[in-house]
Order: sequence, then structure tokens, then C-alpha cells
Amino acid sequence: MTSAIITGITVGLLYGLMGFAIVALFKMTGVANFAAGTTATLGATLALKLSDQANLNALAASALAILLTAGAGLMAYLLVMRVRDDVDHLSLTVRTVGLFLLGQALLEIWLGQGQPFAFGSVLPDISTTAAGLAIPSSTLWFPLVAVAVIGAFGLIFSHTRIGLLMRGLAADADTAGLLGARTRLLAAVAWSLSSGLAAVVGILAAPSRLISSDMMTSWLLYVFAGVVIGGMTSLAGAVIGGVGVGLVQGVTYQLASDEVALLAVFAVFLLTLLVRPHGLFGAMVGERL
Amino acid sequence: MSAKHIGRAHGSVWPACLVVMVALALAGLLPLGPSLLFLVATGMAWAVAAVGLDAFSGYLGQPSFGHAAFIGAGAYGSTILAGRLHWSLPVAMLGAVVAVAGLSALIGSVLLRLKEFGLVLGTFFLTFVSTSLLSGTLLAEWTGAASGLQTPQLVLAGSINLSDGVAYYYTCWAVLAIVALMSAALVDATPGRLLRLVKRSDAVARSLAVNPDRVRLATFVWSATLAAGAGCLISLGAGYISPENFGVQASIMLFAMVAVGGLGSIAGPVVGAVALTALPSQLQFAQTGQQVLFASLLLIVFVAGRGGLYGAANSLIHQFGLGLRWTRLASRRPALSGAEDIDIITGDAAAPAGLDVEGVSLSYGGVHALKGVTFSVEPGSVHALVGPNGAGKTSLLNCVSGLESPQSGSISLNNRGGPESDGRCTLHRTFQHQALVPDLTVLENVALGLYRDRGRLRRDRSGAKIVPARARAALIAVGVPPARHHLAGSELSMAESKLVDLARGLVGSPAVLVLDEPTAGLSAEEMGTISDVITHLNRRSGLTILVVSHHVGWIRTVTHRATVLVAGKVLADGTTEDVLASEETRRAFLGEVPDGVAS
Repeated sequence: MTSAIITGITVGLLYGLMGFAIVALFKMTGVANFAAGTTATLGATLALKLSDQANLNALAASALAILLTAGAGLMAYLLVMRVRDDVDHLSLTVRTVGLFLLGQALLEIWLGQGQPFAFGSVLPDISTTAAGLAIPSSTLWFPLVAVAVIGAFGLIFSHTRIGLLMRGLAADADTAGLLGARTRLLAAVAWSLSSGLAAVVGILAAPSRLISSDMMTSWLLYVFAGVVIGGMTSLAGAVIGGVGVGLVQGVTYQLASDEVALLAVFAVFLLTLLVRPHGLFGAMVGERL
Repeated sequence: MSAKHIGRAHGSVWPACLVVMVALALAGLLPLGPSLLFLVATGMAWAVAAVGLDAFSGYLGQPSFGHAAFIGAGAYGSTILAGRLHWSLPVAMLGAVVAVAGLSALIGSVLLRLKEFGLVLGTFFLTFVSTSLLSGTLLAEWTGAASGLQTPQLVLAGSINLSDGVAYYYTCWAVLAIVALMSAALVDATPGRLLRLVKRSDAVARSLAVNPDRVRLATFVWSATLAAGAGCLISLGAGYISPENFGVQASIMLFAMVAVGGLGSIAGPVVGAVALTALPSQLQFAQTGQQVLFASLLLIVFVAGRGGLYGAANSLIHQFGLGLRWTRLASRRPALSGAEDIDIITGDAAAPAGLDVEGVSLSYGGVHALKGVTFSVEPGSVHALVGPNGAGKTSLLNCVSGLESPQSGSISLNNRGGPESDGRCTLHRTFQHQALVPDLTVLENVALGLYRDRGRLRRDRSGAKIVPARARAALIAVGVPPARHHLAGSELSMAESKLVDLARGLVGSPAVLVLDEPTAGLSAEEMGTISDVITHLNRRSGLTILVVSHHVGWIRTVTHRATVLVAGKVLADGTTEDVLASEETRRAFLGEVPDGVAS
């Protein structure tokens, strides 16, 4: 049981990290990115191909893969999201569903035969034993990575000019635009950063998930569940929601099965929103009459 | 009210539906070959679900990626009832559809409490859960898990096999024809209008006595029921069903059918469903190449074509000058009777009523918007509510019109001094910001103001004719000429939409009419029109009017009494002359908060 809890929290941290990427993008652009899971798969696939075919070492391949995925996110923004972007946010969100389908189809062709592929951990093995419990390497690494990534974003948000503009955009995109913030440029930066972060999650998840075109499809569901439970607009809420979902899923999986775990997360998702319609940390948005 | 929703929903879609259904009926006579005939038939089965989803996504404005779950429930339900429990197939189908309707009411009452994006995710989740249940071990005994189920065939009179060939084609066609034409008729009737009203704004809907949650639930159940019916039809012809037929991809596909065809057009989704089902197999590509092509096409439609195929066809028709005849065909309307003016409205007015506001307090979290507000509006008077920005005027109107419940105090309508009321003691309001439904015509917008009187109008024999006549009279009374009555709500200027909102407020002959900033943004001439309407209504029928305005000169000419609200408290109350002349009021308007008022 203890190991199920540990595994749940470990996986939950990755959900939370990806949720962080989704919420950051949502706050700045109003778009909930359904292609985020596909982006993470792209990151893992790039890392695999770069280390296998270009003979790069794992760490260098991963770093390059993260950069390339950020570039792909930028392209997705420029080619799909930026075109005719004067429509409502729901229509823009529907476009990301199209991106999801296209990405899945392309990855299926690219990965081709022999899926799923094994992919070793990029990070050095630091697994240990404490109080008779084997603690896997990832359980120690993921919190460190999460703290480092979230800390880095925190520093960017609070200490740089572009971070200030991003916070302005997140707080009130219309007003930020009227005050001269270049909202499209910021949205492009947000898409790149969010995609790069999704790639980080894909690479970290690859050793346990194995790499295939649909490795992140069911994850996307859990990540979004965490995001909505956390309140959709709260970065901290996304991380806490993700960890919570990972915990519920890990424990129910241990006790019953994958199927029951999905039902349990769905039940938690519905119950949370029945009690708190705007999530645990979400802001109430009123209507101007 | 900045709520924006996907697409624009269309009225008067029945001519297009008729054309499409006739075309599909004729297509069955062409030598299509058995495989294409079957694909078009299956496409029509999917179209039944697409038409249902169009109500939910196009007319109500809520995307869903969960409706394949209901198609699956219909397909599996009818197959299991017929195959395992040995019900006759038609009864099994009916049973499955009824069961799904009940199930969707249950699911909807929980899921619909989520809004916009939360609901998109909730429906997405629903498909995952249903696929997991269909393919997993929990229900494997019934569903056959990943290996799926054989579906039964329906043979009539020993020889007509409805599961195959031309008979299957026309079975699907008949069901779709009923569903599509019925939907097209509903679009132009009250239910279809209520959908577009709720899509616009919950608050505006509530102010017109429409319960938005019930509209949403009813639409969700309607769309799920049609999806289940589609599932029955699909399983009728499929021979074999398996979980991946009804998974996430299928849910996205169903939404794509609606979007490609044109959200909010009924006829469009029918074409979209048939095209997306039949075309891919006609393109000679490898399976994976087909998926890339399909996803790219979909993305192009999502980015470029807001109106989908229906929108494209519509603008083509207009380009060739056929538009006029087309719309004329679509909306036959009775000619103006000539005797319409404001007396139609005032002739049937409710007994004049007053309004008592007693110690009303309202706070949002730590912000105290109203602090024990007490004042009375005399029956038959025109009463101004004035005060600087943030004084709590709109909050007070929200309490008075029942959109918000004050934490303490009471608000009551009374008709002391008037004759016994006929049980009708109603209050209507208008809004400070644009509050028309953009997808409805001006006339339809005003007719919504009579929704709360539907029971009374139905008892009246000529009720059905009265609604458009009264709506036209109300519009003419506020100075909107007949030439403008059939424009869409989105095509009006700010000034005109305020006039239309006013017409919608007075069309139901309320006992009290509440106007929030009817003059903001209007020219002097337009303000004059509004004062004429208000004065005339008040003199003719003694209608009580409570009005918020910033134009002091206008208030002086129109209103009898005034209440000054500052920082959530009543500062002055009395005749308009006295109140506007008082030193306190002038100080408040110059921005100083008098001693003793600030908290």
C-alpha cells in the first residue's frame, strides 16, 4: 500500500507538471490545449530518435528534443492558432482537438512498426532504501525536477520583463493588449514554453510508459482532471490537483484495476466539481449585467 | 456580458433540410453499388446523432466530445436486449433509447453543473469511461469485451431484411427524415429560441423567466436520446460492433461532422455526417495516410470555415442573388395589421403595482454592495434611481429582478390603491449592457419577452397570433420600424439594441418595468424617443417604472420621484425636484462621499 501511495504521488507529480504547462497556457491565451499529451509524446519520440539514430547521449538528445518540441509548439501556434484568432476561446480550443488528431496520425506513421519502444531514464539512478522500503529513482528525482521547473517559471514570472507582461496577460488579456503588450508575441512565447515543458514530462514518463503514439492519451485525461479539480486558473492548483489524481489512481489501481481507477478518478472529478463548481482554487468569474 | 460561443446558429433551416432529405432519397435510387449504398446509409444513421449534437453544440453553444458514449450505449443496449434477453428487436431498440434517455438525465444533472471548458472535459471523460467499461472485464460477460458483439438482423414479413441493402438505406433515411425535419421545425419554435437565448446569457434568460439549467438538461437529454437512436440504427446494419466504434475518435468524429456541416444549421450536420462517413473510403489511401489527410482537413475547417458547408452554401446562394427568394420562402409571415401601436400593449396591462424595498443588504465576499437599502416606488409613478458609479444601482436591480438574493431584507410588489389584480403581478427589466440574442431576429428577441405569459396566451384562443403582433407593436412603440424587425440581433447598433431591449421589457405588459441605463450611449433624439415611450406608457396604463440613469436633465423631465444611492446606502429620497436640488445629492455627484455614509 505504501508503495502504491509513493508511486501514485510520483506519477501525480508528472500530471501536476503537465497541468502546470496547460494552466500557464490557458491563463495567457484562454485555450485549453487538448494537444498537450501529443506534444509530450512528440518530445519523447524526438529524444528516442535523436539518441538512437543521431547517436547523441541521452541527456543531450533530451535537451535538443525539448528545444525542438518548443519549436513545434511555436509552429502550431503560428500555423493554426494565430490564423483568424479573433474568435472565441471555445472555438480555439476545438482547434487543439484537430491538432491532437493530426499529431496522433503523424506520430503513428513516424514511430511505425515495433511500438512501444523502450526508453531508459535520462536521469542518473539514485534509487535507495529507507526504512525497509525500496524508493525508486524517479520518486526522488521528480519532486526535484518539479521544484526546479516551477521555481524557474516563478523566477521568470516575478523577475523578468517578459514575465511581468505574461502575468499581465494572464490577469486580463484585453487590458494588457490595450496597454500595448504585444499579446500575439507573448502567446507565441507561451506556446513554446508550454510545449517545451510538455516535452520534459514526456521524456520523464517514457521509461515507465514506453514510447508509442498513444502513450499520453489516457494521461491527458488524468492531467486535465487534475487541472479542472485544481481550478483551471491556479498554477498551484494544477500541481496539487495532479498529485491528488495520481494518488487516487495509484491506490485504486493497487486495490482493484485500471478500469476501477478510471472510474474512481471520474467520481472524484465529479464530486469535487459538485461541491466546488470552480475547482479547489479556481476564481469565480461573474457576468457583467 | 462578454460570453462568446462557438459559431452562429441559424433559424429557418427547413428548406435546406428538405432539399438535403430529397437528395438523399433520390440518391438511394442511383446505382451506387452495395458498399457505397451501405456507407451512405450508415452516414445517415450517424446523422441522426449529428442532428442531436447540433442542438447541444450549435444552438446551445456547448461543444461535446462525449456523445459517442450514448451512441455506443444505444448500439450495445439494443443488441444485448435483443440478443441476450431475447426481446424482439424493435422493442429492444425502444428500450435502449428510453434507458439512455434516463441515464443521460442522470449524467446530465451532474455533468451540466460544469460550465464551458469543464463540460468539454467532462464529456471527453465520459467517452473514456464508456470505452473502458465496454472493453474491460467488469461487464465482459455482457459486452464481449474487446471482441465485441454480433448484432441481430431485423426481417419483416419473412422477406424484407431491414438490416441490408436498399431496405436498410430507406430505414435510416426515414428515421433521419423525421428527426431532421422535426428539429428544423423546433428551431423556429419556442424550444429552439430558448436554446439560443441560454447560449447568449444565463442572466438574460433568468430575467425572462427561463430556467437555463432546465433548458440545458433538456437539450442534453434530447441529444443523447437521438445519439442512442443512431446507435440502434448503426447496430442494425453493422452486423458486428466493438468498443472502438464508439471511442474518443468517434466522439471527435461526431463533433467534426457537425462542425464540417455547419454548427447550428441541422441540414449541414446531415451532409457532414454522410460526407465524413462515405468519403474516406472513396479516397484510395493507406489507413495512416487517410488519418493524416482527415485530421488536416478537419483542422482547416476548424480554422477557416466558421459556417461550415451550410455557411458556404448560404453565401453562394446569396452571391447569385437567390438569397432573397430563399429567405422569403423560409419565413412566411403575416402582413402588418395596421392597428398596431402602443395601445395593443397598454390595453392589456396588469394592474399598477408599487415596489417596496425594505432593509436590503447584499455583499460579494468582503464587498458590501448594499447596506440596508429601504425605499418605496409608488404605484403608477416613474421613479429614478441615481448615484455615482459603484453605488450599488445594478446590484439593487439584480435583487429587485430576482437575479440575486440579498443576504437580508425584503423586496415585495404590491398593488395597493389599484383594482384587484388578475393574479398577474410581474416585473420585467432591461440591461445596461447589450443583452439581445445575436442569433435571433429582432422580432424573435422581443417575442421572448412574452415567454413568461405563455400559459395565459395559450388559454387565449388567438394566442399564437398574438405573440408576433404584440412583439411588432412593442417594437413600433419604441420607434424600431418594421424594416428592421427581421435583422439578426447581432446586426443592430448599440442604440437600436437598447430600444429593442426596452420593447422586450414592455411587450408582456408588466406591472413594474425596471430599466437599467436605458439612455447610456444614446443620442439626444433617441433619448427623446425613450422618454416619450416611458411617459406614454405611464400615462395610459399607469405602468410603474423604476429607471437608472446618469442623465440628470433627462431624469428631471421623465421621472416623478427619485432615490439617491451612494456607497450602498440611500442618501436621499423624495420628489425628483427636491432630491436633485439638495446639497447632499450634488456633493455625491461631484464625487464626495458625505459624512456618515462611508462605512
